[in-house]
Amino acid sequence: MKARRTFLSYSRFKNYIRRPHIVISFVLLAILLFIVLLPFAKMVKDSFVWQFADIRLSRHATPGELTLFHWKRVFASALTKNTLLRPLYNSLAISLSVSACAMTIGAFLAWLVARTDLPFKKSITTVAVLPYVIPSYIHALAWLNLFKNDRIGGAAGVFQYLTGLSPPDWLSYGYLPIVVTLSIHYFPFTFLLVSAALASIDSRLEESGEILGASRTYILRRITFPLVLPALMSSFILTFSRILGTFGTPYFLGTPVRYYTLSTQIYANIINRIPSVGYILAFVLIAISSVIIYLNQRLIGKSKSYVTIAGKGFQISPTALGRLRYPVLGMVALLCVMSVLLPFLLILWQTFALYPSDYSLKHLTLLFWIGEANTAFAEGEAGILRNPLIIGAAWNSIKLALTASVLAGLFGIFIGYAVVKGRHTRLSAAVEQMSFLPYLVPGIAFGALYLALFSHNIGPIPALYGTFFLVALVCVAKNLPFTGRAGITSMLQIGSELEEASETLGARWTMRFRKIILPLSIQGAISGFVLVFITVMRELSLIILLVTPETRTLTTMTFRYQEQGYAQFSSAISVLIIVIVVVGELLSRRLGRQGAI
Amino acid sequence: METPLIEVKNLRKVFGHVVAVDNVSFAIQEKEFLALLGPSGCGKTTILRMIAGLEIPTQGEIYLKGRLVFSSSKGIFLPARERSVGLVFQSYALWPHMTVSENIAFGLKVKRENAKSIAKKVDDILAYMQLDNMQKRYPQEMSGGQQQRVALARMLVNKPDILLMDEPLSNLDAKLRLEMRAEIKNIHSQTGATTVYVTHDQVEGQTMASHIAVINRGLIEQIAPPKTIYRHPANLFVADFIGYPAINMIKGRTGRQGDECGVFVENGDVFLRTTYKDLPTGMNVVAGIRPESILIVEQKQLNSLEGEVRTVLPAGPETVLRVRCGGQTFSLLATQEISLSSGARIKMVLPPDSILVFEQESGRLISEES
Amino acid sequence: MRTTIWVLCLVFLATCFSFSTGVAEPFNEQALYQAAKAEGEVNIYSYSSRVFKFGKTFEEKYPGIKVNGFDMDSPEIVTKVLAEQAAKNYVADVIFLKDPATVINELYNKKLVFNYVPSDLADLIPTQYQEPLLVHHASVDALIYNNAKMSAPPITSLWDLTKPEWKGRVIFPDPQKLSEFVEVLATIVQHADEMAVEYEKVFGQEIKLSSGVENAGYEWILRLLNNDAIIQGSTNDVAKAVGLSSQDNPPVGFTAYSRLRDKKKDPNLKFDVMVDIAPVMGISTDVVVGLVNETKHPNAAKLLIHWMMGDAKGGQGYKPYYVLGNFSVRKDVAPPKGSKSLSDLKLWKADPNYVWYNGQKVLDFWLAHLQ
Repeated sequence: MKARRTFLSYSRFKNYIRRPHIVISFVLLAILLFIVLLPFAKMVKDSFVWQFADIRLSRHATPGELTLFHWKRVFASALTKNTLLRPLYNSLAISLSVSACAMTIGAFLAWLVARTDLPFKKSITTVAVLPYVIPSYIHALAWLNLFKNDRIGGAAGVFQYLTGLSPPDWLSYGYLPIVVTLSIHYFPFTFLLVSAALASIDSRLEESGEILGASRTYILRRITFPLVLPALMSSFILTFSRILGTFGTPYFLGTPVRYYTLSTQIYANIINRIPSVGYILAFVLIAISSVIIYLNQRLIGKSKSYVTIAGKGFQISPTALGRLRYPVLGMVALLCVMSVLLPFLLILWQTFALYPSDYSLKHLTLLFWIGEANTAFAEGEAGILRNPLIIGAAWNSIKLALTASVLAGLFGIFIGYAVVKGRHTRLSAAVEQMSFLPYLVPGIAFGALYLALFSHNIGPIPALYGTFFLVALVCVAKNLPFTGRAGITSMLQIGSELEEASETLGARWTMRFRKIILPLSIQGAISGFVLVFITVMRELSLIILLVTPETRTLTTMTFRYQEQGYAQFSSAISVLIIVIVVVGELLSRRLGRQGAI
Repeated sequence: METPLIEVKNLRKVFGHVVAVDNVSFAIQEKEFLALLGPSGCGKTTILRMIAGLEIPTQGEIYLKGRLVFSSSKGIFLPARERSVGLVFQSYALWPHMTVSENIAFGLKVKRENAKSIAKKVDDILAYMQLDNMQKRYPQEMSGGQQQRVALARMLVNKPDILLMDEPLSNLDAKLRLEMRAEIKNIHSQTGATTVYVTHDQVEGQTMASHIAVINRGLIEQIAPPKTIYRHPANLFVADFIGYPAINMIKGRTGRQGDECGVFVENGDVFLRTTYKDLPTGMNVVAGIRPESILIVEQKQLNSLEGEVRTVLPAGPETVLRVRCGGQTFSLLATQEISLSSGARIKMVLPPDSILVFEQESGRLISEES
Repeated sequence: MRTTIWVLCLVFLATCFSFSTGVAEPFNEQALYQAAKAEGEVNIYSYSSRVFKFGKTFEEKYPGIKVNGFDMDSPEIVTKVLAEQAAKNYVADVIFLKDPATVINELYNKKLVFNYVPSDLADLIPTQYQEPLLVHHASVDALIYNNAKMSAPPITSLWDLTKPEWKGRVIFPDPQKLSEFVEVLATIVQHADEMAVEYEKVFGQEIKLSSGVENAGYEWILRLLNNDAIIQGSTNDVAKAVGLSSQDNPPVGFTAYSRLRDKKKDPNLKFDVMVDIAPVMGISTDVVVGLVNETKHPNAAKLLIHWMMGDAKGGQGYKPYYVLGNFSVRKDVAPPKGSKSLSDLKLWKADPNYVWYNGQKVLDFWLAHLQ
């Protein structure tokens, strides 16, 4: 009897395993365990263990032993105020303000484009997305080029050069510029989300309001607004949680005036080799993000699952802006100029300045672009187009972005497949949740964990530190939440029947995947692919600790030069990044248009 | 008796806490056409998918052509691709990234047939389905009816012994549906493939199937040829579900008037005579009569009731009358010309041989023999 | 063929030398060069971007050996070398950086970095600069003032910085970002007694420590911060904040002595170092150079270190550091024009051992009292 039962459970197990999505789920879980859960566990462990460098902190430190020292240091010591509380306050203040600003601007613009007779809508849509494509810290650099004052930061910006007035500190550094530049960077996010929501609203809902005699503003208030509210909330919350962990902008605009956020504090502690404290601060960020995302799900409910079936065919007739049409267009144009053209020109101008603060025409030079290595300038480094270090970094960036986006995209398709196929099972939920986890971990902490974890061999896996693969891996892991989500969405849209049809015709799983699933999901994957490409292309905090001289990227070079005060070099590299990223974005739109049947 | 081509034993499927299919058993002989008929969400599609191998049953056994393809107790599960059944989906599930030819050729390519033979078979089936010159089209460039034909062609080109269809006509308009019904029936008679056909449309079931299984809440209520299902529904659910307009039901209590067994209705005021030889008296029952069985008469006679016409719904050759009688509204289906208008008072006869008597409590039909 | 064998022999010999201890072997530049040429390249992690300058001159002097210079912050060099050693993925051959306390404790003591003193220099460098790691040069951090707006140094004592008239007008680099200023602060704390004596001289009374403050060194840090000191992210920025000629009421600031070279790059900068400050005008910190464990290019690495140390006249290899504010450790190298020698300046020298055990404590104190 017992033998029979064993046989039965074995054959049941075999049947269970025979289903491909189960196998894939287990393989995914194994990989996720390695690239997501392991770092997370390491983070928890290290926060409770004395590290070698801790002997500097305490006479009682015995490396390797358990301790609560780091937790006490963060939460109950003389340093709590400056390590935790102030940065936390600043992080929250920035996140709240930026989310609110970005949401307002983005939603208003989305409404203008989707529901009014504003001219040049297409071009506006194209341009409005660009600020999001440009790395956010480039806006910060542009801001510095414009508003830097000489009282604190040394070389003054264009504003002071032109007006002779020195901008006050609050305009040059800290809260205000961080909020403005990040808002500029993030409003396209809301714009895209709300545009999609507006497009997916059945126009009949609004039309029936109109038939019943409601005014346009009444319809906007009572029908349209409630319908896009979930999208608005999502954009607010997603923006909020992303800004909590943002690093580059607060680093460039905050640290000069010691305006620290949690993310810059994490960096400072990790660089100072007190990673345990950095991890604990990261936990604080993770906790806040988790609570917020949980609240988001509770508030919006499960009914709203981001499904946006675009293009209902009909659109409600646009609201006439009347006399306001051109003034509004002017405002929108100004926004586009301020958020895209102006930063670009400022950065570009800086690259031609012989001296950092001297913007006069007679001192313009191409030295930083094509100058030969000249020991009189810039410590003898050649202009960026002649500089093998920078050209190497450019290739690294492109190689990294391509590798990571292809891998993350494929990974996303597999996640989508496993999750959708196994829907309502615990296994599926485990894959989904685990792939979402990296979203919560700030990039800088994630990078630090990879550094700590992969400097040694883990079982049979050799130490990966110093390899290009490791840098690519961390980018893949960090982007899984996005590609995984995209994979799930596209798999839901494809539906299971298309695959089942081929299954009843006798196709094995490999063939089904190759011939049906992959070709069908590739279109959805392309947008995810581009998103990851752009994200990695502008990635800074995640990889700053992991790149080695051989694997350094354009972004890390910018960071380095900016830190050393070579604004021209960092600006020139930024121009290079912008060009690559914008070309990539436009190219993908081309591809996307051709690909869409 | 030969082994059935499809046999399902004690099949059960549970999703979480929901029992989708509950202890279902049936057998289909070769060349039969079984319609799984039931309201949406009754579990009929789940049964079909379990036969196809797309869903793993929680319990039970499935035999296809005498081969055990699933058994929960023996731990056997053959995946769909090893069962060689043909399946047409409600959504057609045509691959949008493949042309019509590619869609149809897929199954043949899986079997690694040579290109020449594939091309020929594809052309033949397209001609058969009247889809000539459509080879290079993509599914989304075709009409719903054409897509339906492609889906059928994709299945038929593999010459499966078992055809499974999941509401294949539900996305078509009325006229096309009628056309395709004939088409599918034709295909069935030509190929002789045993067919299981899921539908919620009783007319579809009745016109096409050799057997109908009426399914409700995961259970089979009755499985029988269409005529039997119509004339002798096993219970009130089947009686009510099959037939349009729905069967008239009159609550009452059994009794006798002389030798005749019948049902007292209208608080015992009216005795409806039946042709039952024997009915236990004093039992709460429901008398059912099909709308077309009720006749309009001039004179009051046996089993006649008087009522007031509420609505007249002419529909081409037939007319549906809604007649208010006592506390109840009757549906009448008249095939002759009717010149009545609402408000008219009429007399109608419920012929004894058309009255079915169901137990009120269980809903079961009381069989005439008893 | 014959040359190949010859070179291989040299490589063998040189390798033998390189792993034998002590500095007894005579320095054979040609043998080292031949061996290094076979290695082809050398990777150096440097705290300073001037690595590209001496790298270039090295390549000119020793054709066939490529110098891959990588410019990073000192803490980052330590972090990277630790990771490389753990991963057995050896990239760096030479490290050249500040913060000797960390280098000695985190790398040298764990045998991840070795000391290399070219034998021909053994007699030319005071022994205190040869152990445990060779010091390349000493760097001095000192106070600067705007000499375009002020005719003379406006202060004479470190304690002057805590006076009300300098409220909000003292610029100090951020020690959280720049490790050498942890050394500066820790060294001031180490010399707390002298700070206390100096306090009495300036204010005419004995110092009263604030509650919870250990000594006069900490007290100075506390009062500096309470006097609204402005914290800057880089020494570069301090120099600009003080030296830009356009301002009316320029501040004073602590920065690297060697920032004086910025004046050449930017004609708008006007500042000078204040030499007559009591008790000291500044703190000298060491910049060290070392050979990394398991280096793949040991000979090229040694040759490069030798090159970096320059010659009696300074030399091409040392030239980028032959500037005001950097002090060669060689006895035979005269200080640059306009500079006194290290021993003639009123300085405290940072002690790596003290810094290692107290630096973080001082930094914590600083962080806890930041406004």
